[in-house]
Amino acid sequence: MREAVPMPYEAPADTLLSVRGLGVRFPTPRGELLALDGVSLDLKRGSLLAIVGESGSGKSVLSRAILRLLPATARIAEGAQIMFDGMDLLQQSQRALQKVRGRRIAMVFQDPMTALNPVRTIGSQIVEGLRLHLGLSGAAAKTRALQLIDQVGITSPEQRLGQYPHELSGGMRQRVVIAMAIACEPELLIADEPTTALDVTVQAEILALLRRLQAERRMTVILITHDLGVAAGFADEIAVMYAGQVVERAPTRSVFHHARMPYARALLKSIPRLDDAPHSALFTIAGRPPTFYGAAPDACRYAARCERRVAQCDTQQPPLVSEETGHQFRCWRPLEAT
Amino acid sequence: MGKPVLRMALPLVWLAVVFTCAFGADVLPFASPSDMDFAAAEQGPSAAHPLGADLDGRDLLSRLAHGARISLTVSLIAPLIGLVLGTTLGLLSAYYAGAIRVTILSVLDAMLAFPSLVFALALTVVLGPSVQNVTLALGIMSVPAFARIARANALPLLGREFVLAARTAGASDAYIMFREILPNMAMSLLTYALTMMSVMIVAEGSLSFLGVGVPPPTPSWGSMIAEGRESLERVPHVAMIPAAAMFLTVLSLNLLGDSLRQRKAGKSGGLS
Repeated sequence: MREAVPMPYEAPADTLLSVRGLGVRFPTPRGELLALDGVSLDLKRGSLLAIVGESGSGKSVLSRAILRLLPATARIAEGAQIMFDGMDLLQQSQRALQKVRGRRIAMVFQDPMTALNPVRTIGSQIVEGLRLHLGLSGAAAKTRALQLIDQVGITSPEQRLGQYPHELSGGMRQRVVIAMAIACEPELLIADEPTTALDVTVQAEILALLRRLQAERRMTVILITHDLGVAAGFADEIAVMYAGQVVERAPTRSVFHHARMPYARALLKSIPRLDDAPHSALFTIAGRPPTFYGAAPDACRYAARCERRVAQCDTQQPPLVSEETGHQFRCWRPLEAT
Repeated sequence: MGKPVLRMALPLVWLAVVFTCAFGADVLPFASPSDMDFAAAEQGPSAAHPLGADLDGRDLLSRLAHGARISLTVSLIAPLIGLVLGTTLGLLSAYYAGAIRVTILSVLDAMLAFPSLVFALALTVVLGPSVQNVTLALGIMSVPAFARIARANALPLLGREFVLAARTAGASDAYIMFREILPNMAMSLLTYALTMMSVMIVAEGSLSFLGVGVPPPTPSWGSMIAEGRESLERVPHVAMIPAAAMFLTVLSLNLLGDSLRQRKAGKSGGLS
């Protein structure tokens, strides 16, 4: 009924992004830190995937790796592939990548204050990408910038173009960052914790904006977040990451109702709920996520913290298995699909 | 001097006077800077010579105005050379690791270790004394300092997220250096350039004083002071008037630079 995902893998035709066996290591004084390990991920055109994980689980490293923006010291595992629309990003020259970044794959960052250049006007920062990638003239780029500002729900666009980032509120700034990201109609948008630095009410607005833009433009979106609530309200599918691996991947409903991997279930249980009794203790997972240096251990990454651990968990790494429904997980003793 | 307005206004007024005299030296009703009126030689201020005359009876006001041209040319162009070359080298050495960085930094360190006036002296001796060569020598002399400032400013900026954001948007190395980083440090570099202007006026004066600056008969403030030095006890005004002009100009530039720096500090304090 279930089978391991084979390594030389033929992705379905409507796949936009296909990551295969991606491993990333960073040299540190304590040895090589294993940041990503055997990450494989397929993304259909027009889908909305949320990558969920604790800090240090490798979700940001994954997004940087897709754009080839890892520090120069990072070592990428041999045989890894990042196929984007039939092109292996890992084999491209920097020059070729500059044509992909911003044009076909764009990114929204966590903190809109630091992601904007403080001494340049909003207008000049939006216009620059349009001129660089689309070759628009000054006047055409400005017209387009005004449309973009309007589309992301900013009032009096004409006036905003001449303002500096510090003159805008946090939510406004994030809207500007999103306008810059969608300026060249990218096929893939990676949003790395786009709402973490914002107020809760503004968070909801920004997520609604991203959803609307995604629907209007048939964009493929990867949302990276540590907040399962945000992921649930936003994404069609959720991939849960733990210690540099994807440990569960399924449609949002399945993850919430039929999580198979104990870590994913534990993560869900640790979300506080409104119908919890007042002052009831919050569920927590004992211990901390592990960090590995040097060789990857042949064991389940989560074994040390798992309630369902058996001997096999410590001696053999569970493969990423795929059920007929498309539900993927790494576990020797999965929870029953109910 | 306590009021900020005065600290900006007085230097600006003085610099405006100097600039007007320098640019209008040929048009304004000044006497010729080289005509010798022996009757007026060593005389103090009079109707014919408002600031008096020098040892050879040449009009001091006219010579000051013509000398201001030299001082201003040198003090504008030399820091500009340093600003352009130094900023570029500083940015490159901050942005690129490896051979480029090592080469640039070693050359800059060697230049810094060399006494700058001796370097300028040697260069003008080799190339021959002329306004261009003095400017060039002083300009090259100021490159390491500009490069150091540019590098020190660029390093923390390179780690900022907007640089990463620019890269994710497909920006090239040159774009990141000159459109993302440079505007963020323009203010520091410009205030330093203003300070360097005053240093350059003094440096040009020193070179002219030593006789390797601008060749006579072209008047320059430095050579005027040098000429007046011989008769300092008898007729102090011959050396003191150009010295005072230089002093006021340098002071004005420094005060202006200071108030700009304070403005910048106030502004960026509110920013980040």
